[in-house]
Amino acid sequence: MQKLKNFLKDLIYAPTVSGYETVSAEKIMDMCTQFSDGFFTDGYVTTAKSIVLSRKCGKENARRLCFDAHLDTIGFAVSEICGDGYLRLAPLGGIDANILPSGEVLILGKQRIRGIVSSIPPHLSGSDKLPAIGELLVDTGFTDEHLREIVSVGNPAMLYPHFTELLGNRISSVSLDDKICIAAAVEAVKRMGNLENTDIYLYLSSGEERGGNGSHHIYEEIAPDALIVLDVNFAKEKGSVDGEYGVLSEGAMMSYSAVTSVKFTRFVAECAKGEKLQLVNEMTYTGTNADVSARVGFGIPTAVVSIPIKYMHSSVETADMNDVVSCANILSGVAKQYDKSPVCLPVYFKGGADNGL
Amino acid sequence: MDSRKMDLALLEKLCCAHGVSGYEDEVADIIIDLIKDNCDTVMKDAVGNVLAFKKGKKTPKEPIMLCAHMDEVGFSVKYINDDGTLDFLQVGMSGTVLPSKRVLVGKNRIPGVISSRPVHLSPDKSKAVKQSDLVIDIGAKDKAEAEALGIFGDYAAFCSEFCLLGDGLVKAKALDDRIGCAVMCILSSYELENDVYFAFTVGEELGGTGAIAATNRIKPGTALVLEGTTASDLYGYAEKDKVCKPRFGAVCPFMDGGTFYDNGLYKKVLELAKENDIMVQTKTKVAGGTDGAKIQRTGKGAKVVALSLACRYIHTSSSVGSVEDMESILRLSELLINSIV
Repeated sequence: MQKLKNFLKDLIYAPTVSGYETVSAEKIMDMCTQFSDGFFTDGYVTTAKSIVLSRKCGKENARRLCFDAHLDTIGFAVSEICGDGYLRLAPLGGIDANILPSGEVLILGKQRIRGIVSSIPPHLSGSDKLPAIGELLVDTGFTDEHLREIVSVGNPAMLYPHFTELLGNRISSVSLDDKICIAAAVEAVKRMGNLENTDIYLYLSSGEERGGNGSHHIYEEIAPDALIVLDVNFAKEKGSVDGEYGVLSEGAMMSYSAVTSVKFTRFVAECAKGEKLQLVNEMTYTGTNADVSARVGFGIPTAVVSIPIKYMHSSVETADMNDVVSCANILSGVAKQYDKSPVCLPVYFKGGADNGL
Repeated sequence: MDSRKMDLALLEKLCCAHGVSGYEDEVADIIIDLIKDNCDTVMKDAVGNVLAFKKGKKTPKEPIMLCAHMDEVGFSVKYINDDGTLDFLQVGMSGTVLPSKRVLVGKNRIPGVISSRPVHLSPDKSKAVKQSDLVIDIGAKDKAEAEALGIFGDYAAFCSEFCLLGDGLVKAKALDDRIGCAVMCILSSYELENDVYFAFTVGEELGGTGAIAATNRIKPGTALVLEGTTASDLYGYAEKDKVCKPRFGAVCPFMDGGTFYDNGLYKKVLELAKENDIMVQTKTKVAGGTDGAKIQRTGKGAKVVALSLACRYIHTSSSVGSVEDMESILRLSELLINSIV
């Protein structure tokens, strides 16, 4: 478990802010290859800054199962170097201004420097309205001239990474969304062993926080015949209604929705027997990459498996490592049984694929 | 004078110690350890103040008291919820700096985080969150697990590294007022012209509980308060709204929200700064308060002067101050003590 935690921590400390995935894409590809104990035999970074990792079983026309966990995280881009060592940031992905005042950011300029998001001095505040994120001043402590040497407009920045181990196997950090699912997927491939009839792909997609950019290319890059999208999901917090969300430490979650494949989702549930799994109904869309990838190419039968976290999109996203392990077990269970089921294969009632269909 | 450097390792030790108002003992013990070889008397009074006396080359007409408070802003555990999260109370902070920060709970420093509602689920993103909607999460699986830790009623402090920031600045929690404590600890190691009493007080953030007890015991004629004060020199703010600015020297206020500082001593500080080429500034707003107000209103009322560090984001997990300003405070304090007859 400690090894898995350390792997997750390393993933988090390699910045991949949405749109700036190449800052650490190669590094993360290497980390995943290494942690998989040689499972992945092939890997590359795509034009669209996603990572494709694969292990092929060697059989022609083998079935292709893919896991997608997004590589990018919420973050910022430097939008203005103001003066006096202050700069301003534009948010990339949904960020609540509530979490920023007096919080810390890591700015990825020529050097990696720390910034403190200014809090409004008490004698000048007094309103319960928050300023827009783009208005907040970030203090780097540098003189104006020195700051301009280090940082330029357009450089990325992220909430400062601090990995905190809480009681039990619970952890808290920025970027659990979606690095925790990358960790779960790589842990899963370690557990699935050698597969005789299935090619396994891990797609670490770019740009999810900005509309699922990387998902649009999954068909061109991989064309899997089934896909499990891995993302974080809401866990119950103070004030949330019972039954509306998942519960931390109660295992991975899986969503039924109109965009995902009911058949494949049921197959995953079948394979997950013996593991804790929380089923939720999202009705229409899932709010994940599945909303995009289920509708590219010839359409990819997709299921969404998620890990519950609290305080999503903050610097203290909180999760239970036991849920990560349970997610990994489910994924490896699906992979092992995948070739024994006709689920997700197209069905021809008359004629065949050679007629152009 | 060039050897009068700020000891950043000492400041780090003090800033990283926990001393939320009412729970100052950890800081007190560190201070006692730091000063006991330098002073002639060191005691802890009934309310928890650390009071010390250091003999100088001469005894001034009336006692000189230096004062810095040991306590810091922070939290206490008010209620343990069924899901193992903690409702909390806070001392001294605006609710807007709390969401998504790290804390350490109790003497055993159990790591925790302050919650933050997912932005996806917030009905009005422009509205500041209420403190009563926040919890501290230590990862307890339920109420029983949290209760078994014995943390009900215990304090929690911010978890924030002490580090250098940019060009010559420091970021830490509790610069207010560990900087004052640090300056006094360093001064206690100097050879001073006058006898000096040091008062490291409790409860300043609650209105100066400790300062009253210390003043009644020491009965100072002159009191020098060493503090952290609000700097709001944000980019684009009008000069008049900045109050004071890091890198522009020790802050010597003529008046604040609670204290009438002694005019003679105020002028004396400005003179000493000029003569010795030390940077000093005053506050451009009459705001804030220090133990000075309580010292002034206790007993016969001492003459009070303050030297403060201009701190950005004071009363948050990330206060920021300048190392050069710290050294200006240190040098001016020494000169002022030595100049009193």
